[in-house]
Amino acid sequence: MSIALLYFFLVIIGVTITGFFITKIRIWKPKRTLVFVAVYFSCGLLAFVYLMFLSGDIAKAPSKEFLQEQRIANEQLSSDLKLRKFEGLKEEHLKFTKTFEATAENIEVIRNEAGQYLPIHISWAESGENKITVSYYETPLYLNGVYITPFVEEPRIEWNDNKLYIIEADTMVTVKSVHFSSQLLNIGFPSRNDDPLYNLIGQRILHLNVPKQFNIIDKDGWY
Amino acid sequence: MTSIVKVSTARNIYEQVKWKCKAYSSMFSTVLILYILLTLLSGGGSGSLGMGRSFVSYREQYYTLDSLFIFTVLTMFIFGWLLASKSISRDNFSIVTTSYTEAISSALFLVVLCIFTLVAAISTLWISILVDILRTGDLFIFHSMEYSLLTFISFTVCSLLAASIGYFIHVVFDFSKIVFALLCVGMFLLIRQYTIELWGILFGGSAFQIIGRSTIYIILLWLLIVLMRQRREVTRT
Repeated sequence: MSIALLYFFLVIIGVTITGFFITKIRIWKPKRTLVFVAVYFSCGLLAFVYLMFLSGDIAKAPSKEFLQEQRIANEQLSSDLKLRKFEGLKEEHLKFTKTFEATAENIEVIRNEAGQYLPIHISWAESGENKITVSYYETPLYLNGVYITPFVEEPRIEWNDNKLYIIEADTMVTVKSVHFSSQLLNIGFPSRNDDPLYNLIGQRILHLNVPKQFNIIDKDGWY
Repeated sequence: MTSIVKVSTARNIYEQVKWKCKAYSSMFSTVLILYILLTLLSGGGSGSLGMGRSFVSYREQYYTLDSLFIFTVLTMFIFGWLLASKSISRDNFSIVTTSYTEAISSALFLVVLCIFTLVAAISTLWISILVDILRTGDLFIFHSMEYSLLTFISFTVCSLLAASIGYFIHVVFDFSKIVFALLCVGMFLLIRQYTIELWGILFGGSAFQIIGRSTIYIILLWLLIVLMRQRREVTRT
């Protein structure tokens, strides 16, 4: 039995109760209703005050203006990286740095299936050393107007036999939200497929600082 | 109708609304019982959405007034019918009553009931969120209240429209069984033809159109109710 049918029966039962109250037996007096209503509304008010001002269990979604700022900043960062301007990578977004010793000219990047979206940006260094520096940056991530960075796991970077392994886990975001807009009446409920502000905002970047004498071979990147 | 005590029409209407609030108090408690039952079964959530973007699989369960709204509309329709059907046995005729004051007081009582359901729905929403948080410990995201006023007004107006339709149908039933039968057939055909386009034609697309058109329909329905009640009064005399 579908849940909608169950609800329908519940409405019927509710209405039957009403009819019972109204027509035959006055077991429910107005005074009791008043007390019941007062208690119920007080519970609602207390729940509202507790959740909004005391508990911290409800996080406020970022404003559209803030999301717009983030989007512009990320677009700027993307275009800077395309032009190999790495000054846009800020220290505050750096999550970790690892250094590896290369032993051969060709360095292959090996990704697991979930790692195909992590873009690599390479800056070529004038250096006689064989050291490859790998830095992982992550700007604040928003999807559907929700801050999702806490859900995102950092990738594991490993080095073995002159191969750079990028191992990532799938990111699953499950959130609950409260709206006082109405999807049914088409009031303010964001049409999220169309609005760029509700798309993925933010970037994860793997920056490789590689001496010029090496080659990086990355076959699987999908970005 | 005559009375040896001269009282204003406004005073009569006020007394009648007050009387109806007491006489039909079970309607208020039924709304709450219904909301509690629905919330317990649905977990309070109105819907969910899922999407995949790049490396992220995203799922959001959202809480809105929408699910309560659907049942409120249905309940208000039935309450409107019940209010009209019980008016003779439950109304207080010791207060000076004309068809005009009866219709106005019934409409005002339904306004009170609809505002009550709105407050009850908001209370239910917050209580269900609190229960969910206490049960699961999940973090909630609160989106802005930018559109809340518009949502609340639409909720109330649409509930009132449903109640008015319920009341109107019973008044038609009292008025003429043939007209009632024709109305039922008409409504059946309308529902059979139901499409999103028809909804758009009747109520418009935006919130303001929904509120505006619903208000017009409510006024028209109550004007018709007053007209038909006049006839009933003549018949009874």
